[in-house]
Amino acid sequence: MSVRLDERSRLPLQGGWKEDAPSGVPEPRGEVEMSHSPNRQGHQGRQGELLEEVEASGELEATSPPDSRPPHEVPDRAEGRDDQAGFDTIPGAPAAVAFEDDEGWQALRAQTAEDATRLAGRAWDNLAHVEAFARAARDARAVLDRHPDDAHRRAVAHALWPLLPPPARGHAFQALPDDVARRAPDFPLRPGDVPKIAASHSAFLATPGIEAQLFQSGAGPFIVPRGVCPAGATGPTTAVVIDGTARGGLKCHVPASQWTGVEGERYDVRTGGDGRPLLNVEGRAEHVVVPPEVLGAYLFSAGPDARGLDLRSHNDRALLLVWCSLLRSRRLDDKSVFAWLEDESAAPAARTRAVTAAVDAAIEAVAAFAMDPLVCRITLRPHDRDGGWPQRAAALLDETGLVRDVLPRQAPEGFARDMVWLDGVLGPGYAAGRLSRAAAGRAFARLATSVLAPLGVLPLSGLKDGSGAVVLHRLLPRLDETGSIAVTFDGPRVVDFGAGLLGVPLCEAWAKGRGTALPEPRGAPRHDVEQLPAWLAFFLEGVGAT
Amino acid sequence: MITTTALEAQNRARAEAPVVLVVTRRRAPSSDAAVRAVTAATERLGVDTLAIDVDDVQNAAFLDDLRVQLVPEVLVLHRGVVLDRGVVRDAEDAQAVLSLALRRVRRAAG
Repeated sequence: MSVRLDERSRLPLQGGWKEDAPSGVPEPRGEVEMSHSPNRQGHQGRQGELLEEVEASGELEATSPPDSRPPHEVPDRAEGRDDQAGFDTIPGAPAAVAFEDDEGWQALRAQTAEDATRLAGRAWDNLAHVEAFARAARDARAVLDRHPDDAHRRAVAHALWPLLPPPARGHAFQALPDDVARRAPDFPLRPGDVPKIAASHSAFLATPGIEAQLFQSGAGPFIVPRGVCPAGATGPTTAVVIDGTARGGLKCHVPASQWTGVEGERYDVRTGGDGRPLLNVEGRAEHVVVPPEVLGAYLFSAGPDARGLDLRSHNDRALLLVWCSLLRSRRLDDKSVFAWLEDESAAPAARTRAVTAAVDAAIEAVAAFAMDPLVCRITLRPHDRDGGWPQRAAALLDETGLVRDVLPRQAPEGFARDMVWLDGVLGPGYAAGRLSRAAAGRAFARLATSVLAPLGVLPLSGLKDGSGAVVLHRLLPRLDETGSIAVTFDGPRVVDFGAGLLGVPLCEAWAKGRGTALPEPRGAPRHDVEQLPAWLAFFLEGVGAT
Repeated sequence: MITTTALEAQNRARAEAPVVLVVTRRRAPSSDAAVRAVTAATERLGVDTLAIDVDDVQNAAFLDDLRVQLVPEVLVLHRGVVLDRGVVRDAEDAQAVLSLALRRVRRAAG
């Protein structure tokens, strides 16, 4: 079959070449051309004529006897000479089948949907999940070979993912929203895609003396260097809550019980790592006093890797479009978050809720629409009375040719397999659907820097442990007693996609051992809060939202 | 590819030039495959590559700090920041992953 296809694929080229090379080649006959295809160009008619002559000479018959190939593989010209006249070109190979029309994909989609439904009530049955996954993975490889585009690979991954044993799925993994997926592969931005965020959402940041408003008694916790009170530190930092003013700065305490879990553990005086108070030159313990500039160092630091969205990248355009799509789909009261962000006259409380929803949408835009191959790996460990299912599952997965092994750093005794599959389906990048935890964190930080920071949500990224975690410091507008807008602080929160901590308070993350490797603010870019309203207007103008 | 120590890796991670660090295990086929894939990719990209042995006790603290749990793992480091980390399937995949991680670094370098 392949020989015959090759032979035929050369014919159009021969025809085209022979036109310009008369020697030894039968000249096309104009009258035949007209009689066969009166409305066509002479070049195509000559090709048909050449084919007639080749067939008449028996050359084609010698290499391509009639056979029973499926209709979609047999060029129509083999059916009869009358049909030849209807060709614009002579096909060299079967036309590529559209993805949605691909029988292999249709069968895979139907089978995976049926298996997912069947397995929905059998979450305990890991082997059944692996059997279904392995069967689908074998079929998927053939589909992937025919359809290498990112969008098609994403569709295959979304078909396979529900068949994973539930513990191997990681977090939710969703297909791109339809209105975004239609713009693949370039994901162009168009006017109206991005909300024209009202200036009122950002104007409070330009308040003069914002630090004085933030550093009030009871405010916090604020991140400070470990040296402020080594006893309560986690990694290079600790956190303090302001109690009042004192000479040389702000009197604070360290609410260590929030992350150590030890009831009542709190430090009002500077305490060393050994639990003893650090004495001054007079031999007395000192209160924890922190200068305002030290409190502001971490608060306004953007981290060593601070960057905004690069809209020259299709990945960042796709991310921005997904965020905007989520804003449109989420409703607060009677209208979408998208509309709330555009509402210039919204009350401060409504603006706060809208920004909260925008932050949640940004987290979801990264967490739910891209997957880390290591997060959704299949981990097989033996246990008592397992009946040998992990070994059986490993054998099934090995047969697929799609999975491969990674090794646990601390290798357990006996049988242990960690099998990665997603990198065999998806390419890297947000649009393709595959982001490591570090890449997901960086993508979120870029989105936050561009669209959340001007709303008062300041990201701090570039944690030294490479976790991709991002700390969010949120500044809130609040009406004070005089009716004017004051700025308050909500406390730091952590977004760690690898650990599944999506917007939890920093102290809670510390209690779980996450978010501890904060980068030093010294030398790192800093959020220029007063300029953020102007930056927002500049950004929106750049994306054509204004 | 040069097998390095934790101290050297820490120094290179803070440098101006990006470096790719492959966490490997001796006599592990998957590690060898990752090293081959990353080496081929970094040669094309003009980026230095280092390997670090996960089972060397002198590297344990450094790998703990980076929360390394699996072998092989590939980390892209630049100015003390982990630009990306994870697994690579083959040389082509490694080149795609590294190109994406280093896109802005390479652009800034001209």
